[in-house]
Amino acid sequence: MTLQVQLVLRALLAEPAANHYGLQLCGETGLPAGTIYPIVARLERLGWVESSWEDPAAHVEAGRPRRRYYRLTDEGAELARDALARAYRNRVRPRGGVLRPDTPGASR
Amino acid sequence: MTWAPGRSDGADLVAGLLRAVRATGRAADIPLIVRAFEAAEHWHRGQLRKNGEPYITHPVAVAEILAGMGADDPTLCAGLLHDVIESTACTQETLRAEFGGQIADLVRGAGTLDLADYLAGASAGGEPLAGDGRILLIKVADRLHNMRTIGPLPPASQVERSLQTLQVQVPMARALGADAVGAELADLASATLRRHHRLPPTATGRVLCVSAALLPASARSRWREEWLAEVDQLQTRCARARFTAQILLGLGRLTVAVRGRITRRPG
Repeated sequence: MTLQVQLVLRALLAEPAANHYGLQLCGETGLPAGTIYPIVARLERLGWVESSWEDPAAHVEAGRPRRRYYRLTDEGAELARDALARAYRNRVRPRGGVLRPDTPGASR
Repeated sequence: MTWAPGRSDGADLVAGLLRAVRATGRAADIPLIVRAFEAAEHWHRGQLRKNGEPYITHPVAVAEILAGMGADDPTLCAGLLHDVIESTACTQETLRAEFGGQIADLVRGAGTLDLADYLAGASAGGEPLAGDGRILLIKVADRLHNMRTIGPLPPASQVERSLQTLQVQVPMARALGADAVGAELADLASATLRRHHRLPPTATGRVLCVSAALLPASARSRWREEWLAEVDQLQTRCARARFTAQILLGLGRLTVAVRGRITRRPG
């Protein structure tokens, strides 16, 4: 899994139940738009992420066009946590024999 | 184009409607529906829609939409007759004598109910969805066909109706359980708004449209709309240009992502 994908997953996992839109993910990950959209499109095809148009009430109220929102599916959130933990384990040697597979991805 | 109520045009219309009714698979009162069609055709004879089509095409389309929403016979008939009291010499008493109180009341309700006021009343503590829900179905179906054929209206009216559709008819359709109708209404209204004030006047907007056109056909409209909405929120021309350039650079990867085979891992 590339570092970019890890960054996107981490941003989504920071608020797993919330809606995220493309530009927001650009800001949260520091990645350019041309990188973000292919990643979320692939995650969506894999079923890790689902997307939907913003509710009319919200964007009409805000006076802007509707956004496409992304959020992790339940399964996707679980798989993302596992994948980030795995990526972390492969990169960092556990010290003192203490392996903490649950937390590394969450450190920001 | 003038409308000569020739047998064949009317016959085509009613045949299309009956196909839509039969496609629902329920036992419908076909003679009643045909009678309602004939009455509507009689009263609207000589009237034209803004796009030049005979007016009767509109109530027939509304009835077809209602059939697809699972409406019952009185609702279908009221859909066919929904404009006769308001825009022809036909009176409610005539309808009552011809079709009974139920259909006449539905037609009258559809003519007098203002959905926006109704929703405002409901959210201000009135009884939600009180009254005959079938009137609401007719209003939503009416708006769907009007949005499908919004083209000939002046731009300002198109924008106004599209905004109202997003605020009123879309949530109403969803509340009625007509998700497909709600989604089509939202798509039509958003597309109309995009055409009028979000139509990319800028070079970056045009580049985004061209970029989206390079994607597989099934993915184009979604990404175009998504990008135009994002770029709309960027404040400076520089930021918009950067965004657009990045989209172009990522286009190859996006094409693979939306078309490519599913691999087990996200990359």
